[in-house]
Amino acid sequence: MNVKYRIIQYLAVIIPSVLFAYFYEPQRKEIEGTFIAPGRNVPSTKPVETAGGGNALDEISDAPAEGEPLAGTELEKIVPDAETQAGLAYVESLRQIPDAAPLIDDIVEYMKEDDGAEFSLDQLDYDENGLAVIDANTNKKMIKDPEILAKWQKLMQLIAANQAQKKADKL
Amino acid sequence: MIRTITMLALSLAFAATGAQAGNVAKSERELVVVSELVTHSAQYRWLYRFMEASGVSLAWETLGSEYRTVYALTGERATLENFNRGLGRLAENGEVKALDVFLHLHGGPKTLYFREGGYATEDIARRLTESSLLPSKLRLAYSTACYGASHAGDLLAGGFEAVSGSRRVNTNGAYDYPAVLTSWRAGETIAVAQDWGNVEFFRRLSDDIASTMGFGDVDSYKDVFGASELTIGSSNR
Repeated sequence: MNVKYRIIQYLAVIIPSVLFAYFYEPQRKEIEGTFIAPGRNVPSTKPVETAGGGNALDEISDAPAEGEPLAGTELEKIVPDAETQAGLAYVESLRQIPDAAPLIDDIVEYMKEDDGAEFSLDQLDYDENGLAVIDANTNKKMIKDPEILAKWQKLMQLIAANQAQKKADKL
Repeated sequence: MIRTITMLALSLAFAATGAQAGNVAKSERELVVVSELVTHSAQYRWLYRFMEASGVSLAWETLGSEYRTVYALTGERATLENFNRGLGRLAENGEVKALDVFLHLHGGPKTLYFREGGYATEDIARRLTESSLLPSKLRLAYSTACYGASHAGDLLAGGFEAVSGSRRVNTNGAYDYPAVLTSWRAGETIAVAQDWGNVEFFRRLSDDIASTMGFGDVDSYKDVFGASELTIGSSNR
């Protein structure tokens, strides 16, 4: 009786441990490795630790004077080339979406030739506060060329659908 | 089991404090997409026009059916003055409980660039609080601006309940923006939505591309500050 009781005791400890190690641990590691990195969701207004271990809020040197925008020449200097590089990386990333590359190439080619009269957010109807209502007709107002309009709409649908599919597949 | 019990206990504790989030119906929430990138880059105008337009079009494509109205503040109209007046006018509507803002602006440390130039985010926050009504309705500020995380503290002080922004130069907009929008639309918290946008594979890919192009100050990881448990249908007010 005692031996049986001992065996049951051991099993009661060992089985949950094995199950935990087998099922939960790999799942946790996978989640940490893909979705959750340390330092996310920093609460409230705590300063942000930078990749180099510093503090982004301590490294500010080029904020403009209180209440005043920066002057034009300064702007050209400060808006970094990095943002352009980031923008190019953005477009390149979009090209990786299946079927998106030929659409993007045509749209970009068109936009390079356009001075803003054919493809621009300036075509929208703005109120006295500078706000434009965005609706199903917005793309049509923004893009005059019907062929480019169709490609743009298709591209936006591809981007949204690609994301929805990734989410459904959990990557 | 322990996790379940812990979660249950935390939920009960949260409910007991009376901090239960209020509901915000579709008819009570509005979205403003601020998109102004062209002005500050003479070169690559096509690129920034492309990014401005996609910021607006994707917001509509993904979230158009989830808000009472989606607005754009773009181009020459995207001034700080209009930002304040436009949001102020929307806040005056008694039926509106929550104003969400997507910021597609150039950014520097503690600085956001509107049409006319860069402003210290501290000043932007101060102007927001000059309105008696506006701070009580500002809810989410999602930002693709570089150094967005350094803007967060000030934007929270200006009235936003939650702010999301990148740690340094932001390069992963192609993945992050539609990812966050899709998740937010699905009713997930902004923390979960941003986790989805932060997925390591795509973030590293974008950051590495930008880094190999010759720039080192890249880190697209976006932190969520403030009420990270917010969903599209909730508010802590």
